[in-house]
Amino acid sequence: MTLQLPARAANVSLARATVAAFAAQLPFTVEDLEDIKVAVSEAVSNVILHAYGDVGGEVSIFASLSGDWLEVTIEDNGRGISDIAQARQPSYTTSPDRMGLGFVLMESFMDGIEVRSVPGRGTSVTLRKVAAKGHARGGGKGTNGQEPPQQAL
Amino acid sequence: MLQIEHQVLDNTLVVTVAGELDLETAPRLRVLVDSELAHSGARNLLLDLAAVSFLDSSGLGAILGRYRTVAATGGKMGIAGATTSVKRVLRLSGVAQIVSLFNTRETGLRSMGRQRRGRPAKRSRQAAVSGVISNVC
Repeated sequence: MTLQLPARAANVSLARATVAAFAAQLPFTVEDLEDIKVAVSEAVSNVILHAYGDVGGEVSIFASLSGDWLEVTIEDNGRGISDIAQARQPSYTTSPDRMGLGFVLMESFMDGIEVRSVPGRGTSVTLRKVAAKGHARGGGKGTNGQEPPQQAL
Repeated sequence: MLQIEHQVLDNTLVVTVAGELDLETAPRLRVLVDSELAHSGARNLLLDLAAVSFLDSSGLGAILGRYRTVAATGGKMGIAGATTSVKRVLRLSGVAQIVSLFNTRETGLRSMGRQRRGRPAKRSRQAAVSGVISNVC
């Protein structure tokens, strides 16, 4: 699934609902789907707040299913992140109204997260979640022993 | 979509929120609560989130910002009726350790100090226990 939207706050709801509907093809629980919605909402909100400034731009969302795994990549062509490690620190934020919890929530609600960014060229955030009970977080296997999908970027 | 209703009961601004609290809608909550706190002079704030189906960090920021406003004047703030999924976000973020959670609006108002008339004593004790459990969770 590919979704491309203007990076506007009004589109955050559409983005998370669309990804959750796509993910529902796997046996995720209701709680899992809520987790996915929060994580996608955080990633897309980050694009809107930080990628383009007043110029505006687009956010691209790529979602795929592989075995028990969902993989979602949220991508922009904006200003990029100069220090990813710093940006992922809890409470670090250039948007005080959001408490700096975007990455914390993404990491907590998903089973894997990968951030890539080139200053001046853009950022991609890849989120992964497995639809299986008893899986190990951070790269565990699904019920069929299948490894998480290889990163696409 | 976000719908907000508000009323002042004694010294508590009760704000009932319905819909999703995210980057788009959280500013509306922020503006309304700040305005009503200033105009009403209410010291306490109770957010009824029973009809809130989604909350992310933008919503958390709006909630925590209002907590700071209320706490700065010595008031109390509580959240009533949060769903399981909303509670997860509140707890994971640590907001639940700062802002009291109540099962119902009624128990929240009791904690704010508003006394309802005519309630049977037994029912009052049950509501108080529910409020204490919600406060501890």
